[in-house]
Amino acid sequence: MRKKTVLITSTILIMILCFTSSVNAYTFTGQRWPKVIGSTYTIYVKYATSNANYRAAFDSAVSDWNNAQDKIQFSLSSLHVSTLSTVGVQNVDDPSLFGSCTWHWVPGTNTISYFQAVLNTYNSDIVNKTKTRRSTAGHELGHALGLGHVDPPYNAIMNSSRNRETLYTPQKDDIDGVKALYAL
Amino acid sequence: MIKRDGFRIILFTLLCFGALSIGLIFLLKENPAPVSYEVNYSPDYAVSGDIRGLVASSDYVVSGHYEKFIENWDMGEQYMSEVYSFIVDESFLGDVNGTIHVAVPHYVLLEREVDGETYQAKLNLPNYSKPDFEKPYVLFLKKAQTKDVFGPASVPFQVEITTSDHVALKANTANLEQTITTKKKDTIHFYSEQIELASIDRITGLTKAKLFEEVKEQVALKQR
Repeated sequence: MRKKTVLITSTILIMILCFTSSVNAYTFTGQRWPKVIGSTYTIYVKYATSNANYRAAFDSAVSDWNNAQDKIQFSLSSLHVSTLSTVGVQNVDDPSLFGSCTWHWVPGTNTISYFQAVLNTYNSDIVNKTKTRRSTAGHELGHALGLGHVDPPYNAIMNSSRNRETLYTPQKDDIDGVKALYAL
Repeated sequence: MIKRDGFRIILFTLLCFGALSIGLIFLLKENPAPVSYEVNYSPDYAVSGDIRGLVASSDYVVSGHYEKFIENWDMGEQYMSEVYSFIVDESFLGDVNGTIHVAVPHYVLLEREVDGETYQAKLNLPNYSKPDFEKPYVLFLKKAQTKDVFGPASVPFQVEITTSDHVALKANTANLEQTITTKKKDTIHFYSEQIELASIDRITGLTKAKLFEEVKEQVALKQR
């Protein structure tokens, strides 16, 4: 009788664990910043645009990522003149393109050396919608951190099918991804 | 006498080692090990693989067929497209009829500077699929801002009607990466991220009738 009870209880517990444990959707680009164990890594970034709206979008996205975790932080300022990492704009007349991120690695390693994240100013939603700008800036900075794209239907800023007007800050899955990539 | 010979042998050996080391250092300086540079390009598009999402992104949805190639067009910053004329048979969303011009984004030119030289690679864009003039298409479009052409509303944006029993979403599958060798024999590996069509495609395999029915249904919902 006791054995039976233990067996049933264990089965129920295992089932509860299976159904409640969250499934991670995040992916990695395969590259990361050279964070040292036990310390916070800072990525120095400068503006490559003078437009206040686009600067504000990246300011918000930087705050969103910095407030979401303390493993790795962006420091965005026009005073960081020597850094090669920039945030700015591109002018590409493809209406489906919101922005892009290009990153370069240290030769022979998987260490990111610098990146360029841009918003596409020929996309009318980027021009007219504050939250879409913030969402796109956050997505591009996610790539800069080392996160890859996430397939739908997951709630993640790294999901390209997201509604950019309602999902404009890093979500749990995105934050878990960064914490996993820079675990120590 | 023996002691002096021994000293000479040691001295000679040391001199040989010294000369060898200097030679090696010189050789390594002249011919350093090749370095591999990496450049990764990741664009953020409106992505959808179902009719609801494609209609939601679009200002215009039309069916018809491509007529002919018109020109290559730089959409800005070395992001190249091919412009085709397209004869509209039916307009589901937006006020368009007759012949329109449609830009199909083709490739982006990526650059990396190494030792003062700029190296370039042409990588295909996710929406590139060369139109088949013999087949009808349903296109999901928006207007470009700087030219009187229509561009993609989403990735993908073309549904090819292969037969009346089968339609297929079209996206790029070729020329995703390139490796270029520099003058100093270093390599630069350029990579452009594409769309995992298989994981989002809810359209390929539908019949033409079902495709048209669902497009009309979603357009009606959008216009409510």
